[in-house]
Amino acid sequence: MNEATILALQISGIGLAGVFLFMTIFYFVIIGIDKLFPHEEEEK
Amino acid sequence: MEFSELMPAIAGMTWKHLVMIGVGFTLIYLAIKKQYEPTLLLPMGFGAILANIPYSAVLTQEDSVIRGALDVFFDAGIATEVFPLLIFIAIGAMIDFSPLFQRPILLLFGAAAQFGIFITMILATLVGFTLPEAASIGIIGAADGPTSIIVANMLAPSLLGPISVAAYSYMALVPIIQPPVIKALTSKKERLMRMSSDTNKKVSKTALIMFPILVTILAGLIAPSSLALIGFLMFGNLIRECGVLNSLSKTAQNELANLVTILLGITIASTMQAEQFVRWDTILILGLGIFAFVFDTAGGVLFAKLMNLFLPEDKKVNPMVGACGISAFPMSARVIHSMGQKEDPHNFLLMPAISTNVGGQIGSVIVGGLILLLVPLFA
Repeated sequence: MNEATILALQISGIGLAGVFLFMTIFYFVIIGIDKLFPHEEEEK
Repeated sequence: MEFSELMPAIAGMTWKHLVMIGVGFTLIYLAIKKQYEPTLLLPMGFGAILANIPYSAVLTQEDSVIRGALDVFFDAGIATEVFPLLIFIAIGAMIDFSPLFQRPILLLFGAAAQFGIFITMILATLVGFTLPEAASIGIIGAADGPTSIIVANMLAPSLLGPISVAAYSYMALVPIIQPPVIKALTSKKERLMRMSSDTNKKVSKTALIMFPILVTILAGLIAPSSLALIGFLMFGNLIRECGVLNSLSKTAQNELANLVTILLGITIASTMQAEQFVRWDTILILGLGIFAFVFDTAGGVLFAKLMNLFLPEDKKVNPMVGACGISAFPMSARVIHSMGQKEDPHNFLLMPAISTNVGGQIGSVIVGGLILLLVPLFA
């Protein structure tokens, strides 16, 4: 295995973890703003 | 006077030029006859012909003081990233994030279905590409043309032509690439699974306005390198959702998208010159691009199966929906919906598929930003 492959493996690990982290944060953003600004309140 | 002086284009024509003109014809054929991404493949096909006639005035020639138009467009729109970023504004203005609010957990598939990008990057290094080249090839799997262009332009500009062609061609081939992969990884029982979906849930306007702003701030704080990509996407979405810029929103979705797409397609063709394109590397890149799409699809499907081990019965996800975590919107969602309908005409997977597909659009942009952050750090 060459050096580039080892670095690619490291980047893949960090990259996949990173994208899951981002998506999890966005998940909580959606949950949060949906609770803070529900549709019913706006209609009132 | 010699023939080469009288007819320099004919005299200078090589078999490589003829191959590229053939590629141009093929792209035009696919665009018109098969209607595969015609807005991009047609300008790219015609541009490939333009750029491969020897001594073409659309490219800057050594003995000319006048710069070729395609080179001017390239320097102004691709090298500066302006064209792909303007496309992101247009895409942002087209996206409706409200399906994600109905079942936000589906966002995670937008992460899982990026698996193919990374596995392809590893494979590309094994066949001899450098790390920045391998990362640029892997990003073909994002199924996101503008992201592929930005990443390739920054990390491996010499591969921009084949990467762009692969990214846009394979996006158009999603209905052909995804179904066999999904069928190979799922049982009939799994494909028949129905999903409960709260399609009547309304989302407040304020929430839809806050979402692009908060996502931009958070993405910028965590990975500033992703801001050009995610920021312009979310800006386009804010124009759409704010409710006071309807005219701008329509312009972004139509005139801006169309105008930049024409320029983007024909300008990318300037990188499809015979000497740069007709190489063994190009065939490898096209092969690795399919590999990336296949493993992205597999990543989404397998992640859905994994999630189902932990989800309660009424919340389980049809594993086919996981495949929509790629960015090809709304094509991937339509493919999954029609696959579901083929198995059971009363199974409606369109809404969860659309939600997942929207998540895939966010995921691909985030991965692009992460690769731009990580590769220079490691390379």
